[in-house]
Amino acid sequence: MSAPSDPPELPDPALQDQDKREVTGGDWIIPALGLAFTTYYLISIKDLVWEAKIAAVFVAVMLYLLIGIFALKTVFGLKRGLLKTDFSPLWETASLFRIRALLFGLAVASVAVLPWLGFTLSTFGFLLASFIWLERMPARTAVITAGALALAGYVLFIAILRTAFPPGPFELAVRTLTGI
Amino acid sequence: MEPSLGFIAELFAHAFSYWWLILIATTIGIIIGAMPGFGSANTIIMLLPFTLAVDVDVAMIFMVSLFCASQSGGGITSILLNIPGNGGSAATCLDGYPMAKKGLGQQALVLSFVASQVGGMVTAGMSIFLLPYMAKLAYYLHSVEMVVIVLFGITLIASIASENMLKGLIAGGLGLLIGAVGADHIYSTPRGTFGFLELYDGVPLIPVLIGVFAISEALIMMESRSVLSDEGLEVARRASWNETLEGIKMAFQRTWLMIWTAIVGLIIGIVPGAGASIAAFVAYQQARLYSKKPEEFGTGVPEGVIAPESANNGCASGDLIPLLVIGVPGGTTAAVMMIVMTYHGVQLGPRLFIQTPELGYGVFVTMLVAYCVMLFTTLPLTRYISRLILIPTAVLAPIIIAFTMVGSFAPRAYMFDLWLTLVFGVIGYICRRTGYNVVAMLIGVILGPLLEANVMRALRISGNDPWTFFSSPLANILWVLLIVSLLVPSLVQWNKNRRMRLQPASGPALGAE
Repeated sequence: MSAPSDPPELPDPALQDQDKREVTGGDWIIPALGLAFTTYYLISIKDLVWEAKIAAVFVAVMLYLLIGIFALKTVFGLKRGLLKTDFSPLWETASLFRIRALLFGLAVASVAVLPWLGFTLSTFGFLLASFIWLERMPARTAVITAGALALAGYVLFIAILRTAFPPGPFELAVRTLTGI
Repeated sequence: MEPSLGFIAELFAHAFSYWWLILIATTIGIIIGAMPGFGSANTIIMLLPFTLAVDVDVAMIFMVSLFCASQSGGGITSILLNIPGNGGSAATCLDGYPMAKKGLGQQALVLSFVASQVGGMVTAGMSIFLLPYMAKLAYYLHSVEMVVIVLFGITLIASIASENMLKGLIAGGLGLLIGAVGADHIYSTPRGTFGFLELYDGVPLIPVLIGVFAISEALIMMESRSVLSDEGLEVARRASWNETLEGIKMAFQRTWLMIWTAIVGLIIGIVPGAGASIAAFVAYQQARLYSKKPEEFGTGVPEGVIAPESANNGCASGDLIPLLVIGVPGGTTAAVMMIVMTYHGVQLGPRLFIQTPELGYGVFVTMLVAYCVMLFTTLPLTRYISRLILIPTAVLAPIIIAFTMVGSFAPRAYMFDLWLTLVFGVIGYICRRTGYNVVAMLIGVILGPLLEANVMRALRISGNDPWTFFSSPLANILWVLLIVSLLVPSLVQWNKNRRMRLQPASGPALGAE
């Protein structure tokens, strides 16, 4: 920290210039995925009659062209110093990345156990874990909130709208007891 | 048959006598419309036992009311959560969500409802009298013109919804290619399916919609404790009935915008397959084009909510016109309605207006009544619905994931669709963090099959002559417009960059003077 008598710090012109540079890096992922998918798609249609692939070939060529322009723009931007490589905008901060990974991981887990636990219990488990770990909700409040939401989901989506989720222990128990 | 005023009045009286049914149908429609994955078509299919059992006029009142309400309901989640309830409300996110973030969610909801209902009423009213003339429009658009319209739609969306047009076009192009996955329309050969049987019918739209919008938004929103900014939180907490009245006032100050964007929706809706998503984006782009402050679009302006909502409800009338007049459904819900009407022995096409005119015109009169009813039932709800975004994000995000995933599963009941949703969730997250517009990608996926079907049809008809795409004057005009729409933003950007590069050089010199 500078003392009050110190002369005011002037920003370094070189640093100022650096700040003006646009960030690139994370934005290569979508073109890379696009390139890979387009190539795979073209390979998958190579033996078809031309009528069945003409529209897709047109879109694929257009996509190659656009990705090519993007690559050229990026290379020139980097060479001219208008761009800087930085992948951090993808995850922002480490703590935020952990929170997002936890939320996504819980979502993946809830889908993975759905065939065995059914909609109501897997939703209850997902919401409960999210409320406790992400919101730091007191356990009792979390159980009541997650339970009420999972039950409401059961009534709306399964009992009323008849969504055909694989039945779990809860759905089977309700079916046995009430015939719903 | 030209309808007389007495005849229309009778139809009104008949529709109003079923106000209770309209109330039930519109309530279901609003709820269904706000839930991604539970569209009006699916709901009508689920309720087929009811619509097939009752008289055809009652069935039509129920289906039409539900259809209109679902179009209006789609805007709710677009505004509050940045998750469109259906493709038609994707454009509403562009300004609706920024309004909600500023704490103006209640006003945005009112704008959306008023625009939906005014737009719907205007176009339903127009349809009654212009029905026979407007149906002819569909005859001028063949597969060749449709190909250019689809490409034009993608370009339009890439340029208006994205900050970077190149990235918007890449997202749109990728969407088009994803839309071309699955068996082709003529030879049924699988393409780009990665060997998954579940992709033989193409990439299902709902998991893409839920993945790129809902899952990615849930991940993004974790960056702060609330969806709202600190200032927005204060404004939203202080919200009262005055905000509802303010929203109504804001909407009616833009009455002309509501009317003409609804007409844009009506015209686009008449083209079979074009749909509400294109209508909403075209209306948004037009509203921006004629605005005195186009640079404010995307930051949360009322016009950006009014235009797409009015257009997608205008499109609802347009969807039904080709169904009734030429027997070709304009969209999925219209196709389901067609099945119900055919089951009841109704003959669609010109004969409908000779044999049972009360049914043909009754559809649009019911629409008018349904929109009237909704005007009184939806507006009081806005104050309460808008409080949804006061929920902390750590609670809201898991709820969004848990309940929207149901929508991914519901249409086909495949576990595969849930995994696909998560994959598209990650893709959507990367897109959002790196400036690729997810709306352009979604519209690409929607339009991909339409592009392919029309390319194949055009080639078949012309005997595989590729010059057929330049054979019609209308298509050629559209090609020119397409190229202009691609070049103009690039030239404007180039000019802007050039000026910016020149400015720092002239800055110190001016300062020295």
